[in-house]
Amino acid sequence: MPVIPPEKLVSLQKNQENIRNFTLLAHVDHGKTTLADSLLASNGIISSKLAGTVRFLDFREDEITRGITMKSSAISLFFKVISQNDEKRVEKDYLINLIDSPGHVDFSSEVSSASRLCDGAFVLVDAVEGVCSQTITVLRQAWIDRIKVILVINKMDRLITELKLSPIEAHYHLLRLVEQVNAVIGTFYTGELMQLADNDEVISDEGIYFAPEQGNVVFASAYDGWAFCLDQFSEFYEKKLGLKQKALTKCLWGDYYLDPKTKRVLQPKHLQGRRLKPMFVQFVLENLWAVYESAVSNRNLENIEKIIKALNIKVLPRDIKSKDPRNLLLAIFQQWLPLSTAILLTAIREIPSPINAQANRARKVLSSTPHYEMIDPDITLAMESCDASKEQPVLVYISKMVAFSERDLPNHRRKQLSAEEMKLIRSKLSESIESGINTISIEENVSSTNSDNLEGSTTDMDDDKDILIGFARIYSGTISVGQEVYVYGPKYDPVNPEKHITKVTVESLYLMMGQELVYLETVPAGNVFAIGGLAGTVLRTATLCSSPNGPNLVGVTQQMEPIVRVALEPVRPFEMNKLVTGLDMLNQADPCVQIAVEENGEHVIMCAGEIHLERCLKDLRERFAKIEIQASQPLVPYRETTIATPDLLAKNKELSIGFVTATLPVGGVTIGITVTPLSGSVVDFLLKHSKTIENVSSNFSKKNRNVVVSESLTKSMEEVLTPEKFYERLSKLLEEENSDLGELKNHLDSIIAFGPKRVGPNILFDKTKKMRDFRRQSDETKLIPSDLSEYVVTAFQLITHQGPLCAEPVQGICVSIDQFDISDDSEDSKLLTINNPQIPGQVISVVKESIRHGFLGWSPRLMLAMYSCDVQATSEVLGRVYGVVSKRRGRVIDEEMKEGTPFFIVKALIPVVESFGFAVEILKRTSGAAYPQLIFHGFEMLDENPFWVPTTEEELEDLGELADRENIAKRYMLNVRKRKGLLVEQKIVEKAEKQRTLKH
Amino acid sequence: MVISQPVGQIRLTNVSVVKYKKGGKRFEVACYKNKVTEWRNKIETDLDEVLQIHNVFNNVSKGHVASRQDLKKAFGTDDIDKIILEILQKGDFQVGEKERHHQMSSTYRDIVSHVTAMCMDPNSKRPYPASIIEKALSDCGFSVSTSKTAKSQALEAIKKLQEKNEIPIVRARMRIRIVVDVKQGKALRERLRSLADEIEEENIDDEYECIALVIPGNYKLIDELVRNETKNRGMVQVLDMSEART
Repeated sequence: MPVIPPEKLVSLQKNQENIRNFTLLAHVDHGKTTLADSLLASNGIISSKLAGTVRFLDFREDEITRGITMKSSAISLFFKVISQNDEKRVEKDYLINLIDSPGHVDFSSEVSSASRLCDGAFVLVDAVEGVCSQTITVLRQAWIDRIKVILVINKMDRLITELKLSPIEAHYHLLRLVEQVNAVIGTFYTGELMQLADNDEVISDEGIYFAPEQGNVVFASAYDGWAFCLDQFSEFYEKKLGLKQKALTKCLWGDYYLDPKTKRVLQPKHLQGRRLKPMFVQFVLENLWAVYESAVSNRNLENIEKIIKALNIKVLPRDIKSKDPRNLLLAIFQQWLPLSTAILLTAIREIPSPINAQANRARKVLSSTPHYEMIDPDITLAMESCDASKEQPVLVYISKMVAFSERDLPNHRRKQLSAEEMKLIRSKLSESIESGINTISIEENVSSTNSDNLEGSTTDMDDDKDILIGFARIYSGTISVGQEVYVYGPKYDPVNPEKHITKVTVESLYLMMGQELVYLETVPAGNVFAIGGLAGTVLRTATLCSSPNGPNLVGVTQQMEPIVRVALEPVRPFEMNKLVTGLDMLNQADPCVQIAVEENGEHVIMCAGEIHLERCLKDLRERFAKIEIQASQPLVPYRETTIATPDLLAKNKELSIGFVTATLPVGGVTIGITVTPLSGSVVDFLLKHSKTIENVSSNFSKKNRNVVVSESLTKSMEEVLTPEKFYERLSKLLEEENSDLGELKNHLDSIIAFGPKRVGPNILFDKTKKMRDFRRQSDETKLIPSDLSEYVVTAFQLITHQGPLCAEPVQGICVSIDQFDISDDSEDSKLLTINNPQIPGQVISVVKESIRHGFLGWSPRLMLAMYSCDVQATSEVLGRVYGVVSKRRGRVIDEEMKEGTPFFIVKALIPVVESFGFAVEILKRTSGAAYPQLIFHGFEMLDENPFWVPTTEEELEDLGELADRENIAKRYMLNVRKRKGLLVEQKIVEKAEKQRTLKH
Repeated sequence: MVISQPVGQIRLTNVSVVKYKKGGKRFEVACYKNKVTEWRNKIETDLDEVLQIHNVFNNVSKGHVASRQDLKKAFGTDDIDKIILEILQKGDFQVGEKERHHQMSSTYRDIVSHVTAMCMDPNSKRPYPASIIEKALSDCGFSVSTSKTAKSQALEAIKKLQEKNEIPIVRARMRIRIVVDVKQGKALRERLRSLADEIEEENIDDEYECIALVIPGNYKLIDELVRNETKNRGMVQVLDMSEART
């Protein structure tokens, strides 16, 4: 078939009846891209000899080396159907928009975006491997999106050449396979039934299962380039057997036998012991087997010629004689059972045209958008009818942004022309579409010269910029270049039409031909296309609409939570800016990546899996940032706290724990401080009401003013209490405490600060009440306690910000100043004036040190940041999930069965420190059957004193002097200390005598 | 005649000598390498892990044991244990390779964590992660010295980073709040403005109040200025140790 000129496709786009948008979905390595190859070959894009091996749509370097698809790519094809209805030859041209999607589990988001753009999907299943984990995922995706699914049983050749099954065995194998797939569909169906309320209408399960006789199953070998549906065979045998085609199609699948004498179809019960072969075996499989047998396994030219004759096809003698049996196979099958015909015919027959599909799906899609009822009814109507007339509102859904290098863009090529030439072309373009076709041919000329240039010089590399292009589907109206449209962001809601909405001009439209793009002027409804000039306005997904209150189609997509977190940094530190812009672009281009900047300035990227991460890094290195990038484990935050353990309380009944007195080196100033642990409920209360504390603490200074404490806004909406209410609730909480804390409620009026950062979960009391009045009124220079209050507060803030264990923030302590005396009679008292510049520093360090001692007087604890982790797993792998969780020091808090599905949901908590690589490990250990999601949960106390050493006789006997069992809290603490360069109490050399004594 | 032959054995390889001069005499103790610092920091508590030989020498390499008289003369006692402890505590010794490495790396990390806490990226107003600072420091050839404190070296490091322009880096300023009486406020205002880097907010009603970003070095000056000029009626409050966004 000749190469189809793009302009032909352009004209076809207008005929919506004859458009089919479909995608290829399957488990990884089940042959999607190979199948796409064959379809491309039918359009002459690649040679039919190469089809199946070249994998045209995998054009990224990493895709080629790994042999898997990583990004979905699209291509438009043209297909001509000649049907002979009533002796009349009817020619019909079809436009096929095909999207090839990746099968690997890391790229599931690409699958979901592909399936949203399409009206139908081919789900490929490897005839040998059967249903795999990703097959189930894609089937579910298709089920959710309510798109028409056709099953393709691919790699049939492996049954013959690898497994060496006999046709009968293969028949039963295939029967089982179809059953397997149907079983999966059945679980979705029952799952849906379970969710229905009683009064809801029960959907019938008719038509959702796959049955070859209904034409929604295709048998194929994409590698050898053949595929068939049952009707192809029934058509062939119709006359021979004298049976109606429809009846024959039904009998060709399943346990039906043909009585050789009476030429009647029998059911198994009528066999009466005769050993007949099922019709599927007799008429379909045996023929295939015969071809393979004579062409590949036992090469027999005579047989081949017989077959060729019987099939009434012509094969070139050089193909017959060719030494490579594959050439012969391809030659035979290309004429007998061409893959593209079977697939495309099925697509045309089974997959609804955009008009039909939208009529069915539009309402369902729209009703799931936020505030459906606010949408302009005209838009709904236009979407349902898929009306392409120019007056209709334009509605476009952009599923993702793809980065194309500028060189691949046709309009970039045009920039190579002089400005005048460009103007000329532009004016021509605006005149009519016909002249647009001319321009395209001009562009082609230019492109050839351009590539010549490239061979000659490499200076062009600098121009090789990346441009983001939206992958889009138009639902109604006609979009054209230069048109102004509204862009709805993902958060857009018709209730607030002013928010998240921007107006842009459409810069360019393209037809996607795999790696190449073809420039278009207009795109009518029902098509899949690419749109340029939206970088910056569209982040990942968006809805374009010509009117300001349309539906937000974006909110519906289901996306996987990214689970792999790493910190990125440039290898050369001065390239930080490039990294930041590169990350921004990546964020736009990949719907499944999340980026964040951590508190410590780290740039953290969250990906769906390790392969996905690798791809993102590669994209960053080569396309977006173009710098060397290093990925590392992100730093993990900790919290420090201290608690009262029962034995501690028992031992020191008389002594007051946490009470420290200290004097200033200058002398004369004595400060007494008590540190008390706060209970969990108080800490929670304080953490929850940081906004309130901000308000309350601004009242601490004398005048009641609104102090801007920090610029950061609280993300979550929190209740802001009035100071009175706040104190009331705080005192109630303190009252519930038994020990000393209960008494503190009487001192609530003496709270002088919260910390760290003035809003934290630690309280500073001033029981002396000497520091309440912040500002003195006398003119004396002699020091009084209130002069120093600000320094005491600063010391409190510092120590709570960088705690005694490993300089991480402290939470849950209460510091009260019990004593603050400035003596008059000591000889140093002369020095105690406000003008002495040494005093502030000394106060700060003394108070800090005292709080530190008080803190360590109790039993200190580290608090670990925790992830809460939901794992969805089948019952077989449940044990492994538990294993991985406990290996990571996590604990399972809940496990429940999801009704109507074979899945269990396991809820677990895992320390963030141990979570690096957790998701990958769980996927590996369960062969992908369990999928974890990690969400930051909060801090949880690790109940182990980092300073604990065996002391009692029993412990010493059990553990020895060095405590053989590792103290985990100590290990974490020392790691942080080492990282920060703090003092680490670890011996450099454990056994002095055993050092290597020779010089090396 | 005794012919001294070369010996194929290196002697005293796992020995580090702690030397101490007292009373005009030299005293030495033979210790294991890499252990004396730990002993002084009280991380190692077992004396046997530190000492090679429980004795005091005049010269370790020659094997001359110090005489009782000398010891008595210099230390006033002949209790070997006490003398050893004193020598270990006060004597000079050569820092072992591993000790030095440990010291250097922990000082280096300390410097880096100081720099990260004190600085930020002026464009994004965010702190730099420690690893970036480490790289930038090694790129601009910063070297650690063990004699200076980590903080003073951190300040040097910041200067060096800014000079070499390795990464855009500035000191993160402190956010402080100053409250003084109106009268004094008017007088102080200009001087405060010259000291503060940036005034974020300024209010004058019955009191003069301003929230300012200051370079940490100037905080002390402002604090003193306010205290002295207002006779302690003014107030300087640290709102944020660093302006960096977190």
